[in-house]
Amino acid sequence: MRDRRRYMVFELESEGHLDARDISLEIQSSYLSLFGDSGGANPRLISFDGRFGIVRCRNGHAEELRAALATVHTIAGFRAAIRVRGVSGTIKTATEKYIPQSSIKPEEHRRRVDLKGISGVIVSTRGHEIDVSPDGHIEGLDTRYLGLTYFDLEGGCDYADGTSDGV
Amino acid sequence: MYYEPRVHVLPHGSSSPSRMALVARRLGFSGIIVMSINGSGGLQGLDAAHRIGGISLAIGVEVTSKDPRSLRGRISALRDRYPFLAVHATNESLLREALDDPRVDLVVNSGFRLTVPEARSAKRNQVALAIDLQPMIRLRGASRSRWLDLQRYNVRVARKFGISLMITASPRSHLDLRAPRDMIAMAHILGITREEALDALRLPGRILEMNQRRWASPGVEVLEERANYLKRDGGI
Repeated sequence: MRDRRRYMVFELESEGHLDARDISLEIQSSYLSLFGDSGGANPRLISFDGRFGIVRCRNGHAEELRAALATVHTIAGFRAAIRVRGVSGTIKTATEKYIPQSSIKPEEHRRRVDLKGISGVIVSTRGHEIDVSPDGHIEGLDTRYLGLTYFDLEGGCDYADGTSDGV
Repeated sequence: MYYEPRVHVLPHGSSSPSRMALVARRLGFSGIIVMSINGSGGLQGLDAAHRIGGISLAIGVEVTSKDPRSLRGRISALRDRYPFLAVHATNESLLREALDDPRVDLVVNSGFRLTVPEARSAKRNQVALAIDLQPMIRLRGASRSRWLDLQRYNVRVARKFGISLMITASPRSHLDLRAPRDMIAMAHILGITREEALDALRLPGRILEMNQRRWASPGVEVLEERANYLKRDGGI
């Protein structure tokens, strides 16, 4: 019989460490909230390695699942975003096409940043992207960290590896 | 081709312009419009954003006010300084006023039902309507249901009267950005067809092009870099 399942590969961006259970609960909740008990996708998290994951869904409901994943903004109390990288008919092709086989791991740092108006500690970097924990509380923002890049730091950043973000 | 037209950066948001540009590029956008609120300046990190190739960054102005008269005054003062002008309408009289002003490129509607006279006005003055997807992302349950009904209604009215749409996730953090394909999937829930969504994503770029030709003026920063920095394997 032809494939009745689609495998959607995603990459997680978040402000904290999340495990497969956290992601799975949020995906279920998000899909249920948007499409209800009668939504036809029946999403199931198949795998999650801390950064990349695969969700299975029924054929014909991939766009619904994509929308549901797009409405995720917080997981287990951490601000997050789910980036859909692609959809495929088998786990094997999904993995080969959309999950980079060797990816640069995010690095943790404690280096201080002091710019005009922004001061804090670098909590992690991935490629050129740098997350900074600000010293003071910043009014009206719902993220824990500030999103900067290597280019925002005066004189550049030694730790930012010169390659692209692992893809 | 595809633009995210309403990006808020530090200090109004929690990410720098270069972070927004880098993530937007990674998600598949050709450009972003970073908003100055009422022309107040104070946007940090624009120089750093210059160094990111492969994505256009334009500075637009988002105008808001308490009443229509001061809104008109602000639009007059700011229009010539920016290649893109949006109005954030926080009450109905501001909405009516903004839709009636041909100098306005985009209106962000804070949750009001579009009336027929307003729709006619928008069409006549070629003002585009923003479909802000942030509530679809942030709200849940009954409040989201209500919001969905309202947006679906406004989409139908816009279609009936031929009003142009733009789609935005109104990001205040790079975590709020959503890839074009994901925005199209969310817009579909509101009754926006794929074709309409693609047009909406392309519209900001087209408006920037038109405005730049007519209003090239000092103080306007439009940063567009050919991808000279791109290495063979796509680094930076």
